[in-house]
Amino acid sequence: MNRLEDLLHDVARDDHPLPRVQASDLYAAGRRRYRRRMWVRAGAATVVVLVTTVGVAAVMRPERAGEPDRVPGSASASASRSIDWAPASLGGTIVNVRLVDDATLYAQVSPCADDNCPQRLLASTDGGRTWQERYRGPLAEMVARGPQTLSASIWNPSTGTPDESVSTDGGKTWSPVVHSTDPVAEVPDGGWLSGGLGAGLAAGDGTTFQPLKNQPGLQLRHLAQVARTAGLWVAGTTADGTPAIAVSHDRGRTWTVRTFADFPHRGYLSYPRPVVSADGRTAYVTMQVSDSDAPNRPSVYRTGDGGATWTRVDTNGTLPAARPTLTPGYIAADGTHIVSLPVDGTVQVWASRDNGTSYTRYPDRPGLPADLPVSDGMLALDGKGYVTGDGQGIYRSPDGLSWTRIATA
Amino acid sequence: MATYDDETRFAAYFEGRYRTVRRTAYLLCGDWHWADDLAQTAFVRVASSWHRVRDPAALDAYTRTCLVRAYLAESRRMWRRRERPYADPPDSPAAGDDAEVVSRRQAFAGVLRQLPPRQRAAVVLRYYQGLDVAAVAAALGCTEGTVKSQTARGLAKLRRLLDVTTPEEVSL
Repeated sequence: MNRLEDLLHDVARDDHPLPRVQASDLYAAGRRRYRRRMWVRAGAATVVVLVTTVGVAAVMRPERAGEPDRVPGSASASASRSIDWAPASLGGTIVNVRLVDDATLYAQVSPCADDNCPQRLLASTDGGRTWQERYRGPLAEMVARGPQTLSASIWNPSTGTPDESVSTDGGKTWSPVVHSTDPVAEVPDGGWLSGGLGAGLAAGDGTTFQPLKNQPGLQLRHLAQVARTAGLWVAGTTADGTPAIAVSHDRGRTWTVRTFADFPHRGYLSYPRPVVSADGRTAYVTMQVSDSDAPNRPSVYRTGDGGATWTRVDTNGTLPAARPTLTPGYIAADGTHIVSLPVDGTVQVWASRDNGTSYTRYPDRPGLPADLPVSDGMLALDGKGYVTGDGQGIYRSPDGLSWTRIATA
Repeated sequence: MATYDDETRFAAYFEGRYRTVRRTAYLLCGDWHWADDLAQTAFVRVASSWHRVRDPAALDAYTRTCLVRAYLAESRRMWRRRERPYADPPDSPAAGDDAEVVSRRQAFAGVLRQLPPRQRAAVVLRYYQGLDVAAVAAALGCTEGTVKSQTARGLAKLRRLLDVTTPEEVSL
């Protein structure tokens, strides 16, 4: 069997259990989608009229010298809106938002629904009251590293690959990262780890990255986004494919590696992605198995001593199976572990308030839309506060439990 | 207005085409769970336009377009967020497979997974579904020239990844 056609047919052999899908359910979902699209189109026609009216008013308003390019995201701007599904006052759907400290936020906004247009990078230095556009272009995986320092992947159309890039002026200009071959003992002050899929770890401060002298010995899969005070947390697999976590509390000079050999898997769906508290003491790891008798069943591990020892929690399996995968979630200021799961096509939020012993539905999140998923990049870089966003706006929380919308999408 | 007949005809079409669409989805994304979601997304989109279907002969092409566009959109979203929802250890072998067959299948699935999404879609549509260049271009929403270049690049990468040095080893 050497022909490509035969190889493709062999790979596509239908040897995986069929899901329980009813044509009637899909048809009903299709009809709901049709009605929703018709409603949005009707709304868009109304918006065109509104935008035309507002545009005339804006032209007539005198411009004040020295005023930053303000994107209307303030409460006063949103209060004047009569319809909450109108096009974004931040200019589109929030696809990524990062909180640096109490004053500094960065947000990536996608102006069009199908993600085919260049995203805008917005910055706020007054806690989200006003926003400035800093960059427009194909930007991915933006992470705030400091008040003025950002890292991201920027698509390079000439090579067809993303360039690992850094900005040190708050996102206005970007430069490709330079990699050196000289090893370095530790991550510099204010620096961070870099490393691609399967590559070794490199440390740098944004200008040059050097291979870390003492590598944790894992096939790298994920660099956890943690608070600056939480240490370095890396996920990957050992040479035989066992999932593992490596933690360093001395800037990468030494590593504690925990392999999850007891993880009950034949083939696992998601590699470990740790979520870590601001002080770096508590962390959770969630993974999912793909056993045919328990598809997508999550397993949860917890450490309370900075990654030195890990215990399997939720041993009674209170977290339901998620399709395709659950998010690693985040740890609220009071220690609650909050995750979101896609179940039957809808997002469910679950939480554990007893150190992972059991999880229950957590539908009531004051200030947040009920179906807004949680993610592991919500904790502020300084560990003081949380942020998230969606098609409706940007939300902040001092504790990860109660939320306030600070900007409208 | 949708009628009972519409739903019945949709159910018949779904029963007849679901497995094929699901297999194509698996070749595109490399994960059966994701493939299930993509196939369902495609059929929901087909259902939302079902009452407008006037030419049953064009239905397969429309379903294919829905599937491929859903896959490409999801791939872009995951590239932004660097999510990798598929398993590293491949799916378990079917009963009756010998080790060599399983090993070869897994090796090729792993290689296929390394193609960029558009190259992968072009290769799957051309060589699994047997479509001509024009049909692939319609599904991908690009020009025929782009399909040819994406397919050529995909095949070249497959050859390189499979470490094929002579055309006789794998006739790509």
